[in-house]
Amino acid sequence: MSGVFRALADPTRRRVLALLREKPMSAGELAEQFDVSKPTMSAHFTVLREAGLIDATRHGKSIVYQLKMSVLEEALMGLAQTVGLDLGAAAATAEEEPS
Amino acid sequence: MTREHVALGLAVVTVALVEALATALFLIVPEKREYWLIAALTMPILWAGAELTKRNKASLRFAVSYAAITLALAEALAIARATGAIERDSESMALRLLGIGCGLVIVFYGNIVPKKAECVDPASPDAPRRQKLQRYSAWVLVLAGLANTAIWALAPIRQAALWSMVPLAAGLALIALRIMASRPARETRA
Repeated sequence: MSGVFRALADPTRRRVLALLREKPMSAGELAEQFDVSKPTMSAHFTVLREAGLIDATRHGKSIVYQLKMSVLEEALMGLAQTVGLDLGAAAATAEEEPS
Repeated sequence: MTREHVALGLAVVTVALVEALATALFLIVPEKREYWLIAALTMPILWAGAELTKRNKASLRFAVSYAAITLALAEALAIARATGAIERDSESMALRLLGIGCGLVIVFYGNIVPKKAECVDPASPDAPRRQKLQRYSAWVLVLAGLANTAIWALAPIRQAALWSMVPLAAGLALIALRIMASRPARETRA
């Protein structure tokens, strides 16, 4: 769950998820929507994939991403955006080892 | 431990639990032995069917486990009533607990519907429509399941069984209507 919190904590990643909510998109199409470098976008995609929020499929030379969020994860993202929930702090708490 | 190992272990444990409880009921309540015999035979037959299929066995084993847990809960409640651990007229409580359990199962499965991304081919021109349908169906199932659970938890027991069907029926109707409304218009032939 800490991976999901970490993935949702970043506004760029939340915007990626919002775009993918409309339709599956290629890595290039997604990158065009943001003013960041391709390696940075790749890092964001990796975080989202590792959290299980998106799925990547190779089609020819391009990679197509599609949304794979559960209802609970989508509700959490909506709550974070609406209420301003600090998911970064939640991720850090979830990752702490129990004493 | 892989997902397959977890699924197999869970299926073994839950089906064994069902068999043990059915055997206990066979001894405790012999006048209803035909019910316990059916319960004892149902889970192994279901599991055998799941193992014989060539499809994804892990998912089917998880499904068998959930069915076994539901049946084991019913058997445990029957044993508790038969042995006097809970009052005989607490049938309403047993029914309520089972209803709540079934409602929560609907919520659980509705929640993970969008995770089944393999149902949508991202390269297909129909992908956006299918994805939106999948998300819509998931939300409707979760909300209907929550309403169903709440009714089982709070409504008078005599009406709970009937009223609890209302959100589920409404949810299925909404999904069906959405599917029909979102179908791409067929091109008419010249």
